[in-house]
Amino acid sequence: MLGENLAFPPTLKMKCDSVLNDFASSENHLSFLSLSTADGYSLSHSDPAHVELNFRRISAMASSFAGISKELARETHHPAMEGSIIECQTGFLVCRLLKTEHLDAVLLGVFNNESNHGIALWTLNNIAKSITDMLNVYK
Amino acid sequence: MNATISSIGLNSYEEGLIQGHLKILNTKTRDFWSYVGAGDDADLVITRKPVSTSGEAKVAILAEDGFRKAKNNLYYLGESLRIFSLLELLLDIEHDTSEDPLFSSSSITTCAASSIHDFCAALPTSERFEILVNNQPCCQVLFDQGEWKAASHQTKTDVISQLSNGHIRFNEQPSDIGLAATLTVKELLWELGAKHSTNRLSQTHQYRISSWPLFGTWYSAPYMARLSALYSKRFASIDDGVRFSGASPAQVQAFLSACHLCDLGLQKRPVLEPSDKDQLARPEPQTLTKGLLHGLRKKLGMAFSHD
Amino acid sequence: MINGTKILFIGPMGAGKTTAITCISDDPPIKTEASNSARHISDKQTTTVAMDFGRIYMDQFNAIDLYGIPGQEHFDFLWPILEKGALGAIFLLNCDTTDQIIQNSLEKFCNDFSRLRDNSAIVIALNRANENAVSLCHNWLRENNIVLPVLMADPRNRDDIIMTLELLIATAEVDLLPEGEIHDAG
Repeated sequence: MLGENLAFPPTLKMKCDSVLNDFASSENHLSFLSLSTADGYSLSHSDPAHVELNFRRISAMASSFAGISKELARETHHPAMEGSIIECQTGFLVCRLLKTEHLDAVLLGVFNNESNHGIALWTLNNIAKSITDMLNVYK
Repeated sequence: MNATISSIGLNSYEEGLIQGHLKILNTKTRDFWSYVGAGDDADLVITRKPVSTSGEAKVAILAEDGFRKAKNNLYYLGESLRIFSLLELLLDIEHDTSEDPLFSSSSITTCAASSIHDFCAALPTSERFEILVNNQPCCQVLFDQGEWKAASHQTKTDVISQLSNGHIRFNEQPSDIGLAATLTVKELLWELGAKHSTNRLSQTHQYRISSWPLFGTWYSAPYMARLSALYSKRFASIDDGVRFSGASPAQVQAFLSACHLCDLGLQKRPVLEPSDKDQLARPEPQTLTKGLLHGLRKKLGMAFSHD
Repeated sequence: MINGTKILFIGPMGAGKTTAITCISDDPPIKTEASNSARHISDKQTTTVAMDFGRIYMDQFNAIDLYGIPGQEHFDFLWPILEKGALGAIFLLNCDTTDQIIQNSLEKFCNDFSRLRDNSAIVIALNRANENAVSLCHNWLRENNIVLPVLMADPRNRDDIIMTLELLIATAEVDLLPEGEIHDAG
């Protein structure tokens, strides 16, 4: 089925949903989080308040953005790209590539204007570490 | 259109046979044929001996081995009234009387190819038939995996060479030669048309096709890609095809004949004089793109490159 | 500055778009590849997630730009972006699958690239195909009144890709002819 990754077990999805929702609800400057495979399938996301979002499209766009960023970094002799950032008047979008034993993934964090670069990157790094640890442990 | 058949000198069994055959054949023919009894007042008269008829009537004589067109209004149908010979006869007459023929003259090759084409179109797909060239077996044709295919002990080149050089007729009850049919009839017709047709198409008409030929599967030559592109996108004359592809007029005509034989939706219309409105609507030549495409052709060594 | 004319490579994942561009590009192509997690659809290690980009240089001022789309349907938001200004498309299709999947792909890509389809500016190149697959495509096009060329092509084979480009260029050149006036080409 479109936008679904058959290799991602439902129990792992539940755990990811839980982790992402915990972070999103505990960080006021974080609007929502999305986790997708590196090739654009939606794996998990937090539940954003008050907005309808199409996570199939967001996941695909995040992976395309990460793919372009990675290639741009390589082309400019900065290999091993870790993440990329989009600055907006109303906040930040931060993408991080997650390399785990079984899966390459893209974590997207959307931050509101209460955030700043430092906090946003620090927050997303922590979330990325939690998710990576969980994906690595899960067989 | 309704068309009539009468007979001279046939017995009642033979008259009944004609009526029986027509019940089946009227689902295969363009016109609706009906038997009107003894006499010579019909579109087609079936006789045992040569007769003279009034007007435009065609005459079919029950003699010789099978179907043969002797001249414009005279046919031989074989000694017995076989359904396949009658079908060949009716299709041939209908082909002759088409109101708007595509070709102003047809070569032997194209007649043979047209007969094969019409025969396949008219036959039930459960049938198998044999094509004889100058009374020698050439190949057998049967319906396999959704299309008509030919099987032969001879090579494809030999089959095409034979078909392009002799008079053909069909045997509707061949014995199985035990060979797999590997050559599609369309591939056969395409090559017959594209290589051997000497049909003449009207110079005062424009032509268009509604399907591309199968490049890489059917016989192809470099100029055919450009002819296909041209005629699949717009109506164009024979001269247009010559100028756009670098092919000779004969090659363009053969290409269009092959398109017709392979049911690629060949249409024609009279050449239109461009109106003032058309003149205004003309796009500016896109010289940049044109130059780039020309450059790309040269750079990649594409087949169509004049210089 | 280089003037570029855009040619698109479209088709589902695993059709050979990246391979075809690599095969004819003068520069090593830019690829945006990520690990393929949908191995049940195509058993290859990586897949394109944004686009491929290659270039054929005509001279120091002119080039043909080759863009490959990401073939998976969830990337369809990118397709109209990449299609903008394209002269035409090579539609690669891997026929090592069921007839139904081939027909679904034909329908999907012919509809999603309808501007190019309606201008007959798509060449369908069948990878790993046999004559039955060619007939299947040909018949599907006829049933849907779509006039496009179909041929078998191996995306690893430069001659095959050049043949598809030749057909595409021939159709593009017809558009450059003013109605009623056809001059010697070449």
